[in-house]
Amino acid sequence: MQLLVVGLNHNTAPVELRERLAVKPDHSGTAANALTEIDGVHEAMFLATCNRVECYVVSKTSCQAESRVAEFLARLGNIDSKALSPHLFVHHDEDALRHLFRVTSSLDSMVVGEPQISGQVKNAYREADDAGSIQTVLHRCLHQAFKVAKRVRNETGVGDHATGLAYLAVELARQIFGKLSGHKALLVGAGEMSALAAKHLASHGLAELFITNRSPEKAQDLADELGGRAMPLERLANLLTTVDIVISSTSAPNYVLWYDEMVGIARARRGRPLFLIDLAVPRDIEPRVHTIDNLYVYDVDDMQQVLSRNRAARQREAEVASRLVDEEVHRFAKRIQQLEVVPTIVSLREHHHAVAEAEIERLLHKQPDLDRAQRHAVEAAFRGLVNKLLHAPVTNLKRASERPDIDRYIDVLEELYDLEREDTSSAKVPSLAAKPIKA
Amino acid sequence: MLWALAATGMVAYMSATFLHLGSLFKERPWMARGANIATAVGLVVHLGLVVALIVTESAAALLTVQGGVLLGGLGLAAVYLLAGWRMQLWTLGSLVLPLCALSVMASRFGHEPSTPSTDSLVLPIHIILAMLGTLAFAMAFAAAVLYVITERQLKAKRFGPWLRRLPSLDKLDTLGVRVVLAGFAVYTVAILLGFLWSWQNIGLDLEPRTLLAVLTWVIYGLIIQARLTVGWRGRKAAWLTIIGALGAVGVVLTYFLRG
Repeated sequence: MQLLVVGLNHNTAPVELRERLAVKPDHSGTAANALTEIDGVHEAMFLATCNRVECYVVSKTSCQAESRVAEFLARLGNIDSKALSPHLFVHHDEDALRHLFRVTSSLDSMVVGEPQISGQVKNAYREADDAGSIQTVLHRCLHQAFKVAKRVRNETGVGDHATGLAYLAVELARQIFGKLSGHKALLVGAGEMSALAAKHLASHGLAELFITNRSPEKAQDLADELGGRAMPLERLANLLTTVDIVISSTSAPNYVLWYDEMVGIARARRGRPLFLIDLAVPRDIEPRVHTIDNLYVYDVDDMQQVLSRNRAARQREAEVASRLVDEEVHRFAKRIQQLEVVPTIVSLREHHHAVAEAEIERLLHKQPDLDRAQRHAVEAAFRGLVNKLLHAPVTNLKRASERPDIDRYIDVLEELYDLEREDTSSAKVPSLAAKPIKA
Repeated sequence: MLWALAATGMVAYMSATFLHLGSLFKERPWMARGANIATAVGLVVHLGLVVALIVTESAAALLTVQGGVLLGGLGLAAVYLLAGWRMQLWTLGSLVLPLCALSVMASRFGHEPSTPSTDSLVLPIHIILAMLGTLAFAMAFAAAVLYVITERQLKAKRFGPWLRRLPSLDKLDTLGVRVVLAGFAVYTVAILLGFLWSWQNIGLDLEPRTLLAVLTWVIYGLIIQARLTVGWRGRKAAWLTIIGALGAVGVVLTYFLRG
């Protein structure tokens, strides 16, 4: 059973192409199901985010599956497969595993360290599971991917730094105010970036969001969109005294908030801190305001500087994280290969132990006057014999699980011993795997 | 035996301190947990030291300055754990725990414990309340130092990862206020009792330590007054808190230097 991933992401395909394959998150289960209908595909998961569309597939004949999955994607996006194929990437086995681990740990994202991807992978996994297209191999791989992502998050600094202006604004606000619930924000002007920042802040539980603009209709529109309250511009001074966060992005050519008036506002606030984000170019807030006690003004340049300093640090941490992922891939690949031989080992042991138990029965039947100790001795001897006989074949079978021709081994063994292969459905194997098989 | 306990306590508290400092730079879950475990160990050993002192010398030994410092450090550790649990403010540990370590060791030094006057309760209660007030100011000192550091970084527009692990300005400010108010109330009574004892026993003698204590009291009174009226928050209040705490600790030091 081999793992295969076929897809495209922000590195290999432009957004116009990715758009064609955009599938709503709750439809990824249907897509996963459709993938399993392909000949030779046993398990599948379909991951679609704004930056990537990827098909994770488990099949025995991954080379053939590869071209069929590519065709599936072409059909899904109504694209000519020849036009699509230069934009597709393909990974097999260990490389596919590494790709999965890297994606889930956000190492493959446009902004390394972004926190959303692991939730998106979890959704795709859940959808595919509900659609019944996940069995043992993908279950194991994804569980491990989430574990690895957690390790990356906890042991490296990859997720330590804000990954975008809106995130940074929230983090700065939280450094000043702690929890944002119960605090109020004011939006001055109606820039797109400021709306995004406001949305982020609101998602952290703002008590109130006021919006004010030169044009009351624009203010009202934005208020409706963001769930805030539009206020007339005359109330600005009053609002500045009561809110805690101000996001400003007007198109005014001059400053809107001047040092002298802000000194008065700070005094009226009785020392309560005020965080001002100036997203306008040219700036809305006179820079000197930052020097006022308990007032904090961050403009676009300031935020960009923090972000780029963070970006360099994040790159370094990403390298550490990459090495961690490689190590995990190596360890896990071994375990996945061993999964293949588990059913065979189980059958082998069951077969042998069945024979041993039958012989024990027969002997005890023939010798009814054995006492307890002697019966135990007989049972122990027979079972011990079977275990010793099995030790070498089972150990070597586990070792051989790394060989590419392992399937041949398994087939031969099954033929020689008349074994019936256990059904590798997820219902059975995990419970067996929970008790490690000791030869 | 007392020395062994003191040394163990100091090691425990200092380990916790270093773990807290470490977790500021590289956030690892085991560091934070290890720090709390070390703090708890230190607290238990500290308690053991108090018990051992009572057993080997006498309960009255606690009513001396050395005993007061020991109890004060114990109280500080307990309050720190409480504040950490209720307000999730573990980072203060890197400032507070060294003080606990110091208190555990300092209680072994100093002059021979002055014979505590067991006839009147005024002096012992004065000592206990003064220690409580001082340790409250010590907590406020820790919060204020962190506040100043954080505020400076924000004003300089430097926002590195270790800064994010410090508590928010608001939390530090809130903790500072609560602790200063409590400390001030207790310190007021302590000073009054001090004057009372002094008047009862040696006449109204204005030693430098008394002046220092009164100065500390005035500074904190000022901080509270200014906050209530003009709304003095933030950096200025933090600096005054730091100075005031140094005064309070100075008062305690004079006992050690003079006996």
